[in-house]
Amino acid sequence: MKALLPAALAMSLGFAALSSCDFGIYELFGRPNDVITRAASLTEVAAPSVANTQRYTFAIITDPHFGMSSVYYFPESEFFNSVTEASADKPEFLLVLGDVTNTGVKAEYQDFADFAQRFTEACGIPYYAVAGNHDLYNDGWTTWAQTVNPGTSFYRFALGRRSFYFLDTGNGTLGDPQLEKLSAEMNADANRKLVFTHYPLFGGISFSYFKLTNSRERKALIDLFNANSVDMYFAGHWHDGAFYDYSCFKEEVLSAFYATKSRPGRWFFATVDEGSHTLSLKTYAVESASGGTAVSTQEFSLKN
Amino acid sequence: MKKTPVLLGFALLLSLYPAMAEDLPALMGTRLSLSSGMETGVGMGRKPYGLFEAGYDAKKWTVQLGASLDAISANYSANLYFEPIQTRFFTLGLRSFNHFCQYLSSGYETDISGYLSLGLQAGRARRPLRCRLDLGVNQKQSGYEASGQIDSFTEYYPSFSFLARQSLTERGQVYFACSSFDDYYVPLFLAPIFSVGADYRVRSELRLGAKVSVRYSDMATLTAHADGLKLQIFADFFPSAIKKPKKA
Repeated sequence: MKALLPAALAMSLGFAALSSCDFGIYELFGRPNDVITRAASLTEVAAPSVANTQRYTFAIITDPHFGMSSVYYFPESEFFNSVTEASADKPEFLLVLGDVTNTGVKAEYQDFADFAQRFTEACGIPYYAVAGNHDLYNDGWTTWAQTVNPGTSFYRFALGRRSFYFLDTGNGTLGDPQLEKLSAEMNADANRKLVFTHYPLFGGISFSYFKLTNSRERKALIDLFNANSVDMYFAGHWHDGAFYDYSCFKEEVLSAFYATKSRPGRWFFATVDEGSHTLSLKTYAVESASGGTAVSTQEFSLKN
Repeated sequence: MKKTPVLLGFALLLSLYPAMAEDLPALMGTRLSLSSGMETGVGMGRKPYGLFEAGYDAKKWTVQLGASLDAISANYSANLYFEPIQTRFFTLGLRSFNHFCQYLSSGYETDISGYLSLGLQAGRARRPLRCRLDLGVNQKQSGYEASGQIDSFTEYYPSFSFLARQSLTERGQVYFACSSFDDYYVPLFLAPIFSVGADYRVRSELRLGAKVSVRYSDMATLTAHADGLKLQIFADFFPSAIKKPKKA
């Protein structure tokens, strides 16, 4: 019995320490509202209004991690200005590829909601988001579904003859039910496709971390994209960004929105031109409040 | 009172009676295993699979080859343990693990791993607790079909395996395992597989057992999701343990 007391004390202290962790580590073996619950069905959402479905531009940011904005530089004004001051190819909607919060608590969701409101007021365009792993900490999904547009992380809309698919990979996996529904929907959809989610597939990163963890699921997705006219797969999660060309489609892992001492904060404008079959990706990078904005452009070919 | 479970239990005891009376030779030499089971989970349905393994256990080394077949892939694995340092309480050695997965549609995966293997033994000599920790690195090469041809990419990541076995009787043991892979499924870092199982040596040359495994998604980012449950029953056959009749 004497040995049990220190053991029980140590376990209690350990549990208390883990419970107080910001990320809710006591949910290590399962969090509420897992991907099976969240992605029970693919939701058709109303598409954003664009002037011309043959050529349009949208902005993308990923991993803003609201809650860390006091630690890192957050280039909000530079981003807003780039949207409002764009003379040609002005973005007509914004996509946010997950981790809108750092620990999933309500205060951080409120910070994101305030940011989204300021963005809508300044730029006058809607936004759409997917959930990232950080958004799920501390039962964050409940607040996500109430706060973040469009309230689901597994959905689709179409612009002309192109479908935009948004996948829920917040748990590091799609899970079999979501994968099966996605397969059925893509197989029945004749449109060209772009896919957006939080976790990379591979991204050309040789160290196997920050990716979907089930290699069979990854293989199934590559097969599915190969067979269903997917042009590009956009992800976040890996804050430095990466790129991989699978021959049959391309994977663009986008760099995080906030800036650190070693990495600028980035956001992106993607212009789809269905006439010339190209996707032009313009990257904006800001290192600090006093630094300027660097802009670079890549062009990718889309399938006919 | 239902009679069927009682009768089944009685029949099992009767079948074990001859085994209980005999001396148990050590489990060395050739080993053949047959296993069957299914993978399931919420919304997954039931996915049956079967596997066959052949191994050879010597004092300081073990080799094991196996093949499994499931609904989407055929998998082959090879394990080699070499434990040159063995004392009463611990062992130190090396392990190599190779896995090849051929998808039934198209594409493949290969895994080549090397490990440093540490074994510890505690408790009473007849009912010891044995633990083994393998720490190493895995290289995964994934081949996929792209525009009518097979392309591939390569990844490297840490890999581990922990196994604790507790003998309950001379014939029976229970075990717990936590591993970043199993012999026929190698996920990416860090999606661990937790297993509990038990086996019983019903005859000197025959061991029966069952195992339950839970497969998790990304545990490294603390958003793990139990995305699969694997149920497995198996029979291990040890031909070298068959007693030869005494000469007159």
